[in-house]
Amino acid sequence: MSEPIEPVAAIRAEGVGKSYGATRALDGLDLTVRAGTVYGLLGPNGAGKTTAVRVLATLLRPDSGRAAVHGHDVVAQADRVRARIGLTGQYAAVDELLTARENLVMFARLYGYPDRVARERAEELLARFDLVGAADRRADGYSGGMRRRLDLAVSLLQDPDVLFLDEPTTGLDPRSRLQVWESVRVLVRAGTTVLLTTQYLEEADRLADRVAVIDRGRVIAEGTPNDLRSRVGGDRLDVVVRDPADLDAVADLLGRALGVRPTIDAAEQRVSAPAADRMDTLTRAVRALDGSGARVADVGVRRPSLDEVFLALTGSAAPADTAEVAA
Amino acid sequence: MSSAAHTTAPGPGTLRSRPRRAAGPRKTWSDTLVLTRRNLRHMARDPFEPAIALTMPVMMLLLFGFVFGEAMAPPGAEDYPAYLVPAMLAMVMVYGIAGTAAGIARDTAREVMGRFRSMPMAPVSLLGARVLSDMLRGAVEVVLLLGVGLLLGWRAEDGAASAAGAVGVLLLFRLALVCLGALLGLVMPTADSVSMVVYPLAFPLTMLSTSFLPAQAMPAALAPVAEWNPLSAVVTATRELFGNPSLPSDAWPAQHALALALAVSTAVVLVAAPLAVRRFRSLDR
Repeated sequence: MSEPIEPVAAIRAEGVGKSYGATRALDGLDLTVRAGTVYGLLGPNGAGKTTAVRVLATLLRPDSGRAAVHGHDVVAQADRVRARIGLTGQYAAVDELLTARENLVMFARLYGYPDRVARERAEELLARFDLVGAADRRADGYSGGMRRRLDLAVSLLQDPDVLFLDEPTTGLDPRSRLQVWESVRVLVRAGTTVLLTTQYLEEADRLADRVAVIDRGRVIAEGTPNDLRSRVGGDRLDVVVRDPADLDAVADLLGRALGVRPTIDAAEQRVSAPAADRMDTLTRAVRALDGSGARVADVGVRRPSLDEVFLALTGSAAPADTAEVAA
Repeated sequence: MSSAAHTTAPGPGTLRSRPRRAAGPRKTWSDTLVLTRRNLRHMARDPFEPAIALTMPVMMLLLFGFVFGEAMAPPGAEDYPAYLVPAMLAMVMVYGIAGTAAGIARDTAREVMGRFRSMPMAPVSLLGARVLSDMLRGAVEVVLLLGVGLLLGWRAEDGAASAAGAVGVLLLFRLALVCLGALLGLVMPTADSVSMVVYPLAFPLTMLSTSFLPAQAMPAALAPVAEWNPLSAVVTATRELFGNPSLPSDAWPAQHALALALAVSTAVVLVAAPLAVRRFRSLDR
């Protein structure tokens, strides 16, 4: 590793490569995550997010390149890395046949705490994650949100410096999702570094200080969520028409009213235009459309989707055909 | 999750100042015990497989002993329960391999495996715990079967020390099968595929031995197979140590049954255990 000029990064990856047979899951991944920040890895299924987390959490040995957590190499010094990290996967990795309390005590013992400390720690985390009432029920009877909370609690047993969250809210209902977000914020306030992977632009936007967009195992864009949004073009105005014959006229109308060049999606019968200021754009568009004679089915301003981020950054849509490739 | 509770979250690393056992042989041993307890809890909460593995030999012992009784006894074995109990004990040891292999296969397929591997613990303690818990299970199986045997009139005729030796031979044999089962569980893709491999292999292994019939009673081509079957050596050695009647045989393996049983079991442990550890370490890396 090169001489550190600034304090040692919490996470650093340099040219990390990993292949599964012919599939190149990671293809020269570079990352630097400053301590005490939340870093988002954004990308579709199969982009290499989970592989990246597995390499950084010492579960996978990279084929090439190197990675370190707080200066400790993830291959050569795996045990030192493991003593400082917590990992929560996309699927709750707890022992389903054990109760929440048994899980916490067992994992605390495996982290090296004596029995008494392990029990205290278990009680602390049960309380913190609102699991006291269900503490003596087997985890296989838990709801998805409860499991995720238990999983997160187990990840925090050793007060990790770096917490990896692999799609922490995938498959959760909105309320559980908000709870997970709140827990992450609390951790970060206390100084924990968080690396989270997500398919949701909104999640990265809400939680992350910096975001890396991953495609085919490498970083294709990196910066603050604001940087990213400005590169992608920000929010968009969508006007859906009832009759495809109106598409050109509506595009013309919007172009003149907003001073931009709208795009037409004939298949969706939709005209889209950048919306620099959400309310202002919407107001002007509705005024222009009012009385124009075009039959409008729907008007709205929305955030760009992950697909559009990809379109803007790569010129092609998110690779849905590789969605089934194990990431 | 109330946000009031969250404000008490300690900073990262604050807990690490508290005493914690560092990596080393003592930590590995303590991890092994923690995980052994986990395995025993699994058996208690999902008791179907261990129950079946134990019920079958007990049932067979009762059927052979009571129902078929003397009619099944081969020539030279007048006291059939005495002849049968060592055979059943060895058979229970053999079928235990399915439990070990399925346990390991289930563990490696579980998501929780990723967590174990991301923790500062020796992964080898997972294998150690499997060995320990399955050996405990093996000991319980031996005790239970001996109890049923006693009810049927079986006795150890050569004193306590010799009987303990017989149990020792059986448990060493079980240790060999546990190591083999661990290796099998690491190679098989799923826990379900384990039983599909184990039972078709284990059944002929138990039948093509001198457990139930003398080798002379088998077709000439199969007799040497039965004579050299390691299971025959274990059964014969167990019979000798319990002071139970053996079938008369002048085949070399039968003459040196104890030495052969010990040698084969030890050899399997010495080969299978390091292979299993190596395979386990290379998983998913």
